Amino acid sequence: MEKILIHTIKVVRLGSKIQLQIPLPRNTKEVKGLLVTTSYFLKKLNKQNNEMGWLWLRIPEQRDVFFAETIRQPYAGYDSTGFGKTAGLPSFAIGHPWVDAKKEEFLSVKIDRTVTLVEGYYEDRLTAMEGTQYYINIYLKLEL
Amino acid sequence: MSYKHNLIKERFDIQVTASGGSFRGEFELDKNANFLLGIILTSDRDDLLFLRGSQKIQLNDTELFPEDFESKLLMSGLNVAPDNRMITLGELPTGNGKLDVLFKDFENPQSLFAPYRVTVYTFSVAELSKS
Repeated sequence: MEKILIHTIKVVRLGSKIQLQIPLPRNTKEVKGLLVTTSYFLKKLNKQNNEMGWLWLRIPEQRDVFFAETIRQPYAGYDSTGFGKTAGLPSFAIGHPWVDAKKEEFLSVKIDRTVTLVEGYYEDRLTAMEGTQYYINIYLKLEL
Repeated sequence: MSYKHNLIKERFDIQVTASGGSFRGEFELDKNANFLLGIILTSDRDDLLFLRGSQKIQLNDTELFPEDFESKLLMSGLNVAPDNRMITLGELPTGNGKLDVLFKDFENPQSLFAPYRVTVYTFSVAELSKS
């Protein structure tokens, strides 16, 4: 049986470094997939530097980082202006999100049943924030 | 194989009327639907659903998607072929067919609130084909 576990990191301050621990349910047989999403969309996307922050995940017993990723801002067209364009259908293959976006897929990982905790930290790398906070969601696909 | 003509297609709506609120929808699948194959989420304001929505979806006692599962992961854009837009769930026996949806709207400074509709489409079959 599959189950999705969601851990949400709330970022309220620029440059903050947030430790996280994700306890796995006792009946977890395996962690099979990992997906990281964000609520943050910058209106004017800087294509040269669309970096939001860094995320590290590791297994405490092994002291080994199994996931180190630069979290990037999603395509800016996902805002209401981007969706508004669906009223008049834009051309395909111009990078418009509603017609050219890709499927969100879990990254395949394999963490076996002896692991009870995933830990790590997220470091914000934004230089300016629109709004006061944003979220990073970590989805773990578990086999129970 | 399940073809479109023998799929039981149903639509259930939840109205989101307040910013940051939780809205529960309790629906009953068609009594002829014995196996749930998939679902998809849409809205009259796709941008608000995409940026602000999350939900828990449960069929009887089986949790299909946990609380805070973002709506954007269950939506589909125009670039996806219509035949592929359903989120497949396997072939879940529907039992007494009670579908619970707990939808949550989250504040997002980049998307101002306006009332919107969340629509859950379900696809089920009366019986599984032998092939």
